[in-house]
Amino acid sequence: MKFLTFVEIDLRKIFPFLLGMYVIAIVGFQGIFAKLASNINGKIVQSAAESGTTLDEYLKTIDKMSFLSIIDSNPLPLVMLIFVGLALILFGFYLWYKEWFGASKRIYTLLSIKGSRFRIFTSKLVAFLFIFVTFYGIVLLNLFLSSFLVKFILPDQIIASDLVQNYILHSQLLPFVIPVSGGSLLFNIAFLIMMFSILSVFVLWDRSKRIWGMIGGFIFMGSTVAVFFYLNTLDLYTSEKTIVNWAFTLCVLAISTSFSHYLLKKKVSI
Amino acid sequence: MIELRNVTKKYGKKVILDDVSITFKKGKISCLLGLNGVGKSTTMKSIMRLVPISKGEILVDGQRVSEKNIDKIAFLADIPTHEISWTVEENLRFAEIYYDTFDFEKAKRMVEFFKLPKEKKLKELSKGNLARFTIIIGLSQNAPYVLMDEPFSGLDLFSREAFIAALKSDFMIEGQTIIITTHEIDEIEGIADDVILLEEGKVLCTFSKQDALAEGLTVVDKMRKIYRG
Repeated sequence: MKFLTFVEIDLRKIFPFLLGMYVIAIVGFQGIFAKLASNINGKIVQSAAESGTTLDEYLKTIDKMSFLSIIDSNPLPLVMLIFVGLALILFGFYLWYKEWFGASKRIYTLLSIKGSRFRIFTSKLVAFLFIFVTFYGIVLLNLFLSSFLVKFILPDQIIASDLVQNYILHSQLLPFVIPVSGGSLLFNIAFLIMMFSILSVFVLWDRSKRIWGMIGGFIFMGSTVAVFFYLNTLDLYTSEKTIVNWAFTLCVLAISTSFSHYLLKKKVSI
Repeated sequence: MIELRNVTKKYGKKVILDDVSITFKKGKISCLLGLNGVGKSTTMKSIMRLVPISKGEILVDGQRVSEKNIDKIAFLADIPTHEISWTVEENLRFAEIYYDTFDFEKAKRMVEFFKLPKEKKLKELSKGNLARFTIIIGLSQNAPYVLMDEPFSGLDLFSREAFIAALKSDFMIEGQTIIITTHEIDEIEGIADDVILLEEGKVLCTFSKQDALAEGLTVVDKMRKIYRG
């Protein structure tokens, strides 16, 4: 019950911000998508006029339009979603920091109630995962909304069938925003937990050792990012890359979670 | 009782508590006194495990303070530690979940006793009412030990009186131990059973109300005598 209350409180606090970010994600995505689709429509009309045939005749000669040809050829809508995703990662950091530095010193209460302090970590982790699961939902919602929007902008004859499904299956860019298979969903969740744990190490170390902790936290964060980028520059087969990424994620996750646990139990100071 | 045994707390090279040993007797109101920066708040936070100690041990009823027995102690910090953007009632509801022994009915009675506007958010309360809210949360936990860090800080005369009245009221449970830190010595005359004076991270002296009375002094006069040599 206490744990759920922790989660509830965190969710209540982030809800207005989250709602704002998701409104931006939907309005922004749909706005850019509508602009892209309108541009394509304009080009079709222009090409039809230049070809000297009627529009109906011209439409029979061109390929069907899918999201691949609209979004992947101009990934601005997805780039915008990536920025929203990055803002949400920073927000995960804020989930920790607001308790230590905000006007409310609720952390006094959290640290002084009966039971494991690690609940503070796990409750924030649940809120962090909630943020991203809902973000994935917003991305999918955007694709579904776009599949309706495109019908208002482009002629029916040239719109491909199963727009969303085909895009999820074949897009080269979408996997950068959301996981598109069961395996990548699992990896994404593990990766998110790892990121959260790294952020937690930074915050908790800072609270344990002040300036030295902050420096230590920066070094820890920086070195994990450096190792991650180094591993991704290696020339590996896909299967090897998958194994390396999993190994890296699980190792860093184990180290940073254990370290966060130790800091919370033994070292944090207010 | 709560015992500090040879407790040392350092921040870097700075020693805040230097081999401090104190025993807070059960059922008494003990006042931890000293000037600003002598380690009073650090002592409280160390007892609550909010600050890890560098050396020594802290026991409550003979056992080390841990995640398992921390609910024996209620801590009233000198700053608001609950959700200031929530109403008094909302905070009490959450306190009921946080603290296993929280007595919600008692909290409601205390809210009425103190005439606290329960529909108001904490950030809308006056400093006096905020202090009242804090004492409600603290005493409603029915913890055998209550630590109060600078409870008189910033309070007006009436709020101080209300605070002291609460310490003498039925809202206290039998045998409850209160530990108060303050640097405002005049306030403690009517409530202190035991006094511990801290100076530069060490215990300067400890005495009881009876000790002072035996010398024909008040608690405050005895402290003045000690401070002035």
